Amino acid sequence: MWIYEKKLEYPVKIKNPNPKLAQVIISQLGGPDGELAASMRYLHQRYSMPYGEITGILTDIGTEELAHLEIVAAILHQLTRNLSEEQIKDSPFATYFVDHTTGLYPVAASGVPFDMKYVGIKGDVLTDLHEDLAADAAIPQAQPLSKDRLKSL
Amino acid sequence: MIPVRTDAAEKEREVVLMGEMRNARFNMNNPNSNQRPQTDGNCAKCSKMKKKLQELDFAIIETGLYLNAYPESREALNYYHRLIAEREAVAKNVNEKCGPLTLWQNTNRNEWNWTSAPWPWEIDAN
Repeated sequence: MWIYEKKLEYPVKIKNPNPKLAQVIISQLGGPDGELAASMRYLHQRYSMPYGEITGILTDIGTEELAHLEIVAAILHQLTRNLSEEQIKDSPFATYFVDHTTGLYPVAASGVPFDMKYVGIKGDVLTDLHEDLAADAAIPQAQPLSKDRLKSL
Repeated sequence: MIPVRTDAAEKEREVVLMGEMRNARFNMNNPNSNQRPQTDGNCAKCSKMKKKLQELDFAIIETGLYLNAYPESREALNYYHRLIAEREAVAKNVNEKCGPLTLWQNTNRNEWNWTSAPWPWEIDAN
């Protein structure tokens, strides 16, 4: 079961609200590579693992991802405080605001709500662990390999 | 005649103030409408203690994850126990002086302050 501890895993102190930034960071909340996807992935894969060590790792990392989810929520909460109507209207955050105001609703930056389709769970240890490698960008995804770099490998 | 603040008057003021604050909670014009009166949780000392707790807890999480994968590491296990011992003392302090850390740790027999402000994502808590 889960016990909630009333503290953030890492402090968040945003001095200046910024709805433009919020529009981008919201993907870390409800996007395909966000913390909600990560926690759902690990916490659900752990049930079908054959070894306690792996179950332990998935349980603890999944729990930590929930803590990260809270950090991202804290960032968004602080980025969207004290905003004037002008500031909201003139930012890309306006479309999110129409449906959610400054409430926190897990969506991707594109506006697509969180979807379990972002997560692969097959109940097979090798398959699921490869899903985890891909998801956690152990396989480079932010910087795709150029042909030259590929040759040097 | 100089008005004297009596205990009774103070108590009455407190009741009225609490009532007002509770009403203010549902007042959309009040930016702090979802917050109850704050505990001592934001004094500078609490801020420092809570940061120390965050540091220790982070180290414990990382060490625990390492031990999950390498349970035979004597060095990691010893390090884990050193961290836990230090953490227990800091957490006890934070819990008693700054407000309960979990639902299970309210040591205050006079007041239920689990729900009091600030919550961890509010800027005053960081």
